[in-house]
Amino acid sequence: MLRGLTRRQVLAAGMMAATAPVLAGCFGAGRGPGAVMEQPSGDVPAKFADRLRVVLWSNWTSHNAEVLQRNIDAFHEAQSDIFCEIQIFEGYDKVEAKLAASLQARQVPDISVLSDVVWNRFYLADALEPLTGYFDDSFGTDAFDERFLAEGTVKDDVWWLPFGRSTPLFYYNRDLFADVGLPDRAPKTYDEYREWGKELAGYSADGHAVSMRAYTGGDDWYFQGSTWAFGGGYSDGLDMRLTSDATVAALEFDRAFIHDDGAGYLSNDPSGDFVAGTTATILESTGALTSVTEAAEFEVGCGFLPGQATTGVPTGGGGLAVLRYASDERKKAAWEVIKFLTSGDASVDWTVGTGYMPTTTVAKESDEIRRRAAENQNYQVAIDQLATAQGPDIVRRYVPECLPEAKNAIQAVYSGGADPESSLSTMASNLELSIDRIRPQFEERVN
Amino acid sequence: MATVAEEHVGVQRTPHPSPPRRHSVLHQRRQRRGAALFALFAFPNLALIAVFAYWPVLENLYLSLTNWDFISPEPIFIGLSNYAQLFTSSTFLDVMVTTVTWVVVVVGASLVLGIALASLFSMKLPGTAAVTGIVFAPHVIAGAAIGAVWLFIFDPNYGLARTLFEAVGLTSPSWTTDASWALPALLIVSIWKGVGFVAIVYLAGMQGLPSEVLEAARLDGANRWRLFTRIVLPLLSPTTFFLVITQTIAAFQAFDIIAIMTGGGPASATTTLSWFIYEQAFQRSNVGYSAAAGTVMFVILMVITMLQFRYVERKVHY
Repeated sequence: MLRGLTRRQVLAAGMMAATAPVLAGCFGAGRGPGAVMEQPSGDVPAKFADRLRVVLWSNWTSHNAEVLQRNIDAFHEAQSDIFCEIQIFEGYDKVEAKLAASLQARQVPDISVLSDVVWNRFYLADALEPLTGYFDDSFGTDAFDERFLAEGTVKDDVWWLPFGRSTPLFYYNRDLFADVGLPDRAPKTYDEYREWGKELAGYSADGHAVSMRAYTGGDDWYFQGSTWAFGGGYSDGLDMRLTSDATVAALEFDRAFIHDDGAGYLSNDPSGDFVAGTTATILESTGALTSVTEAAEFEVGCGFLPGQATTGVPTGGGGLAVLRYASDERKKAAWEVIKFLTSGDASVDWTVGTGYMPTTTVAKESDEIRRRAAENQNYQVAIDQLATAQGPDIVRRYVPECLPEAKNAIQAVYSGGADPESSLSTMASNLELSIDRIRPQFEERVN
Repeated sequence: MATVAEEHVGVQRTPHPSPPRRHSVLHQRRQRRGAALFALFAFPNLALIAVFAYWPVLENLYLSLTNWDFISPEPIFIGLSNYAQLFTSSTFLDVMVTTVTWVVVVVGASLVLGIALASLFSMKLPGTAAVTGIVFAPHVIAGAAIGAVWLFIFDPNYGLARTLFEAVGLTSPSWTTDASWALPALLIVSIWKGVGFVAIVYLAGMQGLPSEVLEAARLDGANRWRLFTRIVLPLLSPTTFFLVITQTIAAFQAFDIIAIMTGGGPASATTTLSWFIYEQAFQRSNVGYSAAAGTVMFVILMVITMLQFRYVERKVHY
């Protein structure tokens, strides 16, 4: 067989033989209508070996992961046909990257947690299962908070269900506010916030100068809210509004607050700084309310985010989606898991255990959640603020480059005091190509 | 039984009892046996190298010619557009400036500090063994752990840096959140992590230097500095050559410390080529563009290594 072959020829043949199967498996095959992909591998305990396995990819770790697992354990006790395995990838971005890779590997989970600014991309790529047809008389769309459910609805179909949803809150150090003589409430407007920052100037505690606000540069979520409050925004549909006067004014406010007044600074860990007493206020997720309250050695007060021309409260957090490429049998089983998690005691336990917003009717109306809100008014503030909350602008949802571009723009202003208008102009111009890239899909699947 | 060598010699020296055809058959059989044996030993390794080294390179090259977001079923072929966009982008130019600064400072400082430490260690002062271990330790600690520790050290509110600065009446800068301090902060950490390895390699090189040459130079009246610059450094040139290549490649690929400490920020101040490649692919879903940047990095490293072998190696004394 090897007669007459030189060593080089043998080498070349070997290389081709080794690479051919791998190259043959690249890209795209098997993504047509009705295509079914395998499940990721994992462990099934012996006692559940005869059950249908459902794989749920989650971003939640530590305490929240324990709460989720506790509810899945209850699901296992409540029925005898389905076993749900949670596979954890820390953070929404890790789940996103893993899910993208899994589509190429043609091995997808049945349910995935996806953040509010990521699920839309999987929807555009036709990777998600429409869920409207799964609802029935016993579990209808009215099981969910209408506002949150609407965020996951496109063209009259539900694609993404609210689960670990949150909004930002205004957190303040009540003891410190009393010491300085500031009112025991959140500022009503950003202008008032700025005035309070000036009043706090020069205040120090335990040898530390205390700032009014620690900003995060790792998330543009809060900036999205303030653009609305100033009357601007990121976009109207796919039409950019970044360079509008109102949006520029929102970033100019931050620049002046940090660099002119010295009332704020860019922090690696705003929550940590708040708990440590180096900043008097932060804008932070409602999901952090429990942990911040427990960690702080002072009275934590919460209020609505400041307004300006109007209110500006963005929703955030994660929801549940079912993958289109799971088999019908797996998708039905996945729906049973979702139904269990978002109804009855599990829904209440999840909301109370994690501190996320109540997204289901049963959670909103539960005695436990009412009792907690009565015991700690801050939880009630979070619920009340929901009335003014809204989902992210379209560009922030559908254009993946938007978030890193926004982070660059706000970091340039927060850190280096760059000109807000030119930072936002750069951001807008950098996003033009990206918007054009998704426009055909967007027009077809969303508009 | 005649050995292979004897058979060859026998053919040329004396008339062989076998006819020429029999010799040819034997020769071919030996060749086949050799090729089969070669294949048996080489193929498993070749297959691994092909799948995990060459195939990703080829795949990356292909992806660099496409527009793809990781999620869509198939990449769309767009020719050289990604490269055109890359080479006309002011952002990419900034990234390359940061990368070159990073590589030059990290490699340069590691080599200078490394050889200085190695010289110190070679004096065998009391406690040298313990200090050598301490200096080398950061090299084997995970970059993520080092990043987390240094984030705390650099914290302007309650980090060690604050205490040190306050001790001399200064205010600690906001190391990782100030665009003008973030890169120096990461350079400090990266040099701190890598200098131990360079020192150990230099120390091993110094211990292998011929003592008679050093002794002769001393007898000729060379002082310490002259001995170091005229004898030790030239004799260590193979070590320096090795370190320059490996440290340059490592510096280009630096990622973990950047990811943990700054995420390429603030405002891209610490975005090196390796972080840019990651950011484009996994945060912006620009797989094709990221692959084009990856190809540029591959070519840069290949050219640097080839130039070093072509020109620098000539000056190396083995």
